[in-house]
Amino acid sequence: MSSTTTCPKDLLAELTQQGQSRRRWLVAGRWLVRVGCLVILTAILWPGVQLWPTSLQPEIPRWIQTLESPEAARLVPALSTWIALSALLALHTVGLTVGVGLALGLVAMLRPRWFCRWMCPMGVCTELAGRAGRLCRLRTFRLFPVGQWIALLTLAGAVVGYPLLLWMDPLALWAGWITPASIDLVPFEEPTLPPTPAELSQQTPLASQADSAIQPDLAIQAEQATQTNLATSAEQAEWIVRPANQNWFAVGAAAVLVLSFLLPGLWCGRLCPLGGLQEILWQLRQMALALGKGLNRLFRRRMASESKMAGDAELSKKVVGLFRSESKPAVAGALGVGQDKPAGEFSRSAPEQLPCQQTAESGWKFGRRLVLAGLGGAVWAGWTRWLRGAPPKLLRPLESVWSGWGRRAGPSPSKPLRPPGAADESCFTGLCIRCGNCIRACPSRIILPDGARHGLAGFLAPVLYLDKDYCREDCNRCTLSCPSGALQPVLLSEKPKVRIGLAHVDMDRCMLAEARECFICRERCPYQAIRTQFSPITYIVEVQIDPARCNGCGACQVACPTWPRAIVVQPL
Amino acid sequence: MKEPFWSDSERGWAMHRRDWLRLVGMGGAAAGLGVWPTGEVLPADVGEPGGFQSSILAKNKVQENRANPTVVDGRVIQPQRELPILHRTDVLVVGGGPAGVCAAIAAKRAGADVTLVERYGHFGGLWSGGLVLLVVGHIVQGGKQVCQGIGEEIMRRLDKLDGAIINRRPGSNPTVDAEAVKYVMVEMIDEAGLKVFLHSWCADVIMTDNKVQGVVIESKSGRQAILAKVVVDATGDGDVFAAAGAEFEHRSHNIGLVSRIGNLDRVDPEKARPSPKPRLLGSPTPVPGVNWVNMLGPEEDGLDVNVLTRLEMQHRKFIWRHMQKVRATPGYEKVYLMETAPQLGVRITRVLQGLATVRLEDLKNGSKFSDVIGVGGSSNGKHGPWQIPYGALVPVKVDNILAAGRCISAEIRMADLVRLIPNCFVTGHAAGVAAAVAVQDGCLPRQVDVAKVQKILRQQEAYLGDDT
Repeated sequence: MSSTTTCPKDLLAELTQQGQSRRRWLVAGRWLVRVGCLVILTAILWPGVQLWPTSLQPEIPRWIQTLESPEAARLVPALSTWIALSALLALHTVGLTVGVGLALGLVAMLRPRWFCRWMCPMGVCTELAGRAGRLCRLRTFRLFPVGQWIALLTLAGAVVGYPLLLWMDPLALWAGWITPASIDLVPFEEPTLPPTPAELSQQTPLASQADSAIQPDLAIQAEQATQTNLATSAEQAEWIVRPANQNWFAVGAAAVLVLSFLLPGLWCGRLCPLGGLQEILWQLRQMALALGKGLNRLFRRRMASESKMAGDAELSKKVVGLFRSESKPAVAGALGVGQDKPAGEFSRSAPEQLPCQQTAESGWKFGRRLVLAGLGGAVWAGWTRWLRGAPPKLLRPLESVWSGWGRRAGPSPSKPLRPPGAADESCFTGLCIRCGNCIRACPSRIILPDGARHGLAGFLAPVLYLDKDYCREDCNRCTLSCPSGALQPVLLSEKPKVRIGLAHVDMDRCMLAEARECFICRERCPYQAIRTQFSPITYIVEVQIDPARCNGCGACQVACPTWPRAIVVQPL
Repeated sequence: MKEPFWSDSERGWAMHRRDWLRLVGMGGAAAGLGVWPTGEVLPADVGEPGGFQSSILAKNKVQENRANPTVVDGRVIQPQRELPILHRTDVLVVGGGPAGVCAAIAAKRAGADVTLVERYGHFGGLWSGGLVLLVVGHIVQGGKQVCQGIGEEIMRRLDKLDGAIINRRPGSNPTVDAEAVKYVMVEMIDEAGLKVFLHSWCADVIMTDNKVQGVVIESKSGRQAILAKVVVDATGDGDVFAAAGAEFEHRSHNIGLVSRIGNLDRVDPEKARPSPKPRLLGSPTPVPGVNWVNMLGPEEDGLDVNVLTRLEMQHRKFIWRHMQKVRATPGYEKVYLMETAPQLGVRITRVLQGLATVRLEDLKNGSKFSDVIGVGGSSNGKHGPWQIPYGALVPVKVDNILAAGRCISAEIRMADLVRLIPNCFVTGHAAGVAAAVAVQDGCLPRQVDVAKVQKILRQQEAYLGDDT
């Protein structure tokens, strides 16, 4: 039925009995395609899913094999025109997968909400939820097209460098729930600390002698154990990642589904920013057509003598007219709103109020909205960016709400440690769509979702947790999996130069300061960035880090046997 | 009956004035006589100083067999001379550290006539003399102990002594007492019936063509020769094989000086603050309240006498001054410097270039050798066992000499494993048995039947891997 919107021939056919049966086939076919898309897109995102048996793999062309790679997972959220446009505007660079989103944007200009109707996995679920809701006689209500506003606001934010609400993208939400469903992130574990004096006194004298190769003098240490324990947790809080519960990733998708059940059609029709953007694109096309019509008229006046052109103009007039009269059911059908419903029900979201329809008739109204939303988005994004720097006194309470909410008491934590290739911290939390691709792509499972420790703005954004494992020198999977440009693709050959952070040594904690012969950080460094050098002043062998070689992979931190760790990767 | 002069029946205890004056006069005269110098003190009253009995062994003696170097054209030239032969033996072990003691005892138990030469007055080398009291390297990943044989026997003997060892548990690194080590080694060497020369520095090697015939030792007795059929170089620095002209690798490593500090059990917990805690307080030893304090030191050449001198002096200054800082810390006033190690902590100097080499690759791959003579452990159970091939003890060209201890043929990346005490036990044990077998079979060490060596090693409870 999508073809009916543009071709007058199909429109005529639709009136006939033949057309009716054909339409039914189209509906059935569309469902088949949508469910197929849902299954395939989910399978691509699901880590460890093999789309074909291993025995077949050598026979399958290599480019198809990449469907099981992080690049393929990246492709799924990158299907969103909104994400592609935002990344383009915010980073001023054309990423590898931007083209896919832009191409789909072009399709959205030719076919209204084509993506929603044929591909969107979230759309399938919300439509089913909406139908279930309608069966339970739940009603929706009228709302202005919020999705368009969200889309514009965020695009304007992207221009300033902080695409604000990008995480609301339906594909990001869809990719999000797969993280908690497919993998189990290891939560933070407190390491075992030296025994307290009370514990020591209960042990026999011999047993209280800890392994002298690892533990310093326990007789002295035990007396201080209680104090150091307190100091330890305070000091460690500075750099220990306290990850958010991974189930938060599923909350967005779940909320959309619940919303679609309670208020059928509201999300897809009015709230979804990707849908809103597609509508905007459609309207842009309409404006272009209207402009074309005007130009055509001008052209016709000049070349009135040529009958062929007149005929063309006639045709174009007819097309526009046809669309105006017939687009209502088409768009309504696209949204799954106006179709297959009992008469009388769902009357509050009648097709007349659909955004496409409204604005196609009054292009200037749309223009005002564009300006307003754009300005609002720019102001909002600019404000948040500005707040992340040094806000004036007046705005500090606001700043505490935005970037400080949920922060732990005590000294303000430094920047979080981001995965390799991360965009500048000032726009990272905006660019990151919280799809969880990088978390799922990481074979070492060291990328974890951040809690609100670095402010609400960074909630669920990826942070590196260098405790169980380090960022391997032979891996760039997370950077390849990022669809939004928050993580720029990193070539393996460039990995040594892509800086995640810089290792810092606290010689007061280092075993070498107690003349214990531990060189494990130097041994484990994949980039030979650590030297150990005897200092005639302190009379100990000191650990020196070559900042030109260290890329902050954390191999040293993971290997360090002391606690609190003597060598810690800190953000740049 | 006349009453005594002091009695007076009427006035009780009273004295006549004349009696009193007589009494005072007699007392004064007695006191004056006692104090007054009465004349010169006779020599016979003092006796000989010290009272020891020292005898003159020879009078007007001139050192025999002198051949003093002379300066000829500004160069010092040593003339040819004949050396007295001090001793003849089958197996001569040079160096009485962990490797040397194990080698000597193993060779003796394998049936050879063995002589041990040691430059200091005690056994144990850097283990006791260098105060490297922590024994690391006898276990591998999973906690299995790979250091067995004579080294394990020493540890068991220490375990039986009171206050000689702590932390001797499976999977743990024990710490020993240096004096206990010296005692146990003397006891074992006595029991084995070894011929020992202490205070004897191996100065040179006696060579015929390519074959070592013995060594020249330098001691208070002068320069003397010990002839031997096979020499085991357990000097740590490879002094013997270097003198014999074998190829070696010359390496630098951190050189430190270990010390022991006392009274750590008398640190006042009320005055001592958790931070800043004094640095370098070391780890516990079997002696209560005494810690041993390691020092890494600068990376230097341990064969350069100027370096050794400079470091020895520099390290001593640092240790004393650091201890003053510790004593100035509240609560630590009673902590004191007990001793510094008699031997400078030289970690690696010369390393043999042998027929085979202990390589890191083999450790990583878990390589197995048909001529395995021992299995090395890891420093903290960090990795698996690594086999030591017999070829790592044998020089490429020079004959009748075997290396043992830290100077065996090993890659530089393996240096920090090879030099560990238990691994020195293992290589020493193997070198001793191989030398004894070479003597008994009348062949060169490089031609030794390794299967026979392995059989004897197993009989002596050495561990050579699980499969065979």
